[in-house]
Amino acid sequence: MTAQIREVQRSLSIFDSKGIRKLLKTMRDENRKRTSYLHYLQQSRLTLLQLKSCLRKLATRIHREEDLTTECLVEVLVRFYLEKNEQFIRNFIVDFQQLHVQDERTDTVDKTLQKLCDKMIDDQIWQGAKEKHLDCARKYLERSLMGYIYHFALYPNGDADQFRDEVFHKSLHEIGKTITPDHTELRIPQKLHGECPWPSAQAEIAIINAYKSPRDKMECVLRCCETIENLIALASGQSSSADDVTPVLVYILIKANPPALLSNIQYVSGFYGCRMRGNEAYWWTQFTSAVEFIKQLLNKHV
Amino acid sequence: MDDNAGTSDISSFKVVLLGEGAVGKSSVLLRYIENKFNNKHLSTTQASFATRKLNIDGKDVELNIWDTAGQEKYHSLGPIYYRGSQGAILVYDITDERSFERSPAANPIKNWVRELQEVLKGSAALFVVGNKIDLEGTRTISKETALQYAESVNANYHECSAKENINIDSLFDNIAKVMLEREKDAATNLTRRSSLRRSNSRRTLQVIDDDEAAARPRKKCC
Repeated sequence: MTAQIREVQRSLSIFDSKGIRKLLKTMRDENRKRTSYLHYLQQSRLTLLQLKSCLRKLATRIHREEDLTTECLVEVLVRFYLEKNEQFIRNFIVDFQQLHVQDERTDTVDKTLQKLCDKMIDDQIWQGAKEKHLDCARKYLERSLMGYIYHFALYPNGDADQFRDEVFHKSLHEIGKTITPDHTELRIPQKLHGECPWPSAQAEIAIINAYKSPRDKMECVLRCCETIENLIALASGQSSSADDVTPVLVYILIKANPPALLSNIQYVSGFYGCRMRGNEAYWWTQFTSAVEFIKQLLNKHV
Repeated sequence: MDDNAGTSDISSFKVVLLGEGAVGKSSVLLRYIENKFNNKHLSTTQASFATRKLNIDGKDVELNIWDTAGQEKYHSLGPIYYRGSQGAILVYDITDERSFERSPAANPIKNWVRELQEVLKGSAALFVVGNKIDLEGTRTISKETALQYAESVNANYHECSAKENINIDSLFDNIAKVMLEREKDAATNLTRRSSLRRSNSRRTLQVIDDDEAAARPRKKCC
């Protein structure tokens, strides 16, 4: 740097004052010309960048559309396949209704699903399918199959289960009228109150009955819990810990009060319990323990 | 749910973090997650559950670490959390007597140990962990007391500081090691026992062939 400055000084010393003035003038003109070119370049760069992001957005949209279309196509194919095997399904439904022990029911469903899957994959249509598509097909197969037996599977004891759910639902409704985040049994820290009453998390869990297959219900619970986590992290500015999540989850469950909550828990544990892994298992445990806690809470209030 | 350990090459273990509120359970977990992955950009909004793959003496191990709510009112939910876990980390604050030994009646660590032994029947590796050793000056529970207690209940003892990142990695490495050894022992015990059973039918013990036992449908779970 110093060397460069010295060199400039040396070159300048050659000129007399007239020469320097001329030099400055030339430099000024040059600078003006180049500035406008620079502006032009910057502008072009901006346009190009915008175009690039636009294209990227379009690409993701197309990918998403592709995924959706494939899913739709897979669903249609699965439906065709199920229609072809109507008799088999009908037998399964009859068989299922005769079983009363949860173990046997789970076992029958698992076996039937496995059988249907294996048979389906043997079909010529599925020969070139990717693993991703097969997974998707399995999901739809499970969804349809559980849809057929949904009512029997959700309420294994018929009216008794429905009655129990109703009682629970009513008690939750009662307790929900008076409960606040500061309730002595909850004591949600003040710093988390910003997002209260966590409507997005409530909305997630409130629609649990819209899902029919245990896998979809599990995903619904997972989404609810993850929403809580994110909201807690937003409100407190630090990572969410179980100390914070549990009371908030209890509060949300009381407020959202989804119908048939107890039957849903029994249903998912029965038909999905042994497939839960890692993350799912953890959040399912959080969820069921929150419901256990609510039961204790109700007992105290009665 | 989590009893698939040992079915594949990779051993999968469930470890629960237990302890009073404010002893730093979540901080221990958070420090562990961030430490391992501080060079990758990882959003750590989640500090209540973590899965980590470790390599212990050439064997791949997957740790599922579960944080639990520490407030006293949730203690009754404990069994739901630690059911099926292969390891439990009992955290207390070395500067807070109440988190270790409040009184003979309300005694957090001892209560947890007793409960865990009752429910899990000694199948889980227990680690008693003193946190906040960065506050050595205000320590109220001596290392000897805690160590002695841990030994008396057949648990391992460890001290760490989540804040200053002291002994955090080694805690999880150690527990993985212990669980791996227990798994190995359990496997050899099982084969030994079943071979014993097959070779000599003893007194009142009814002998059921393994294949036969497996073939019989399981009944009644509730």
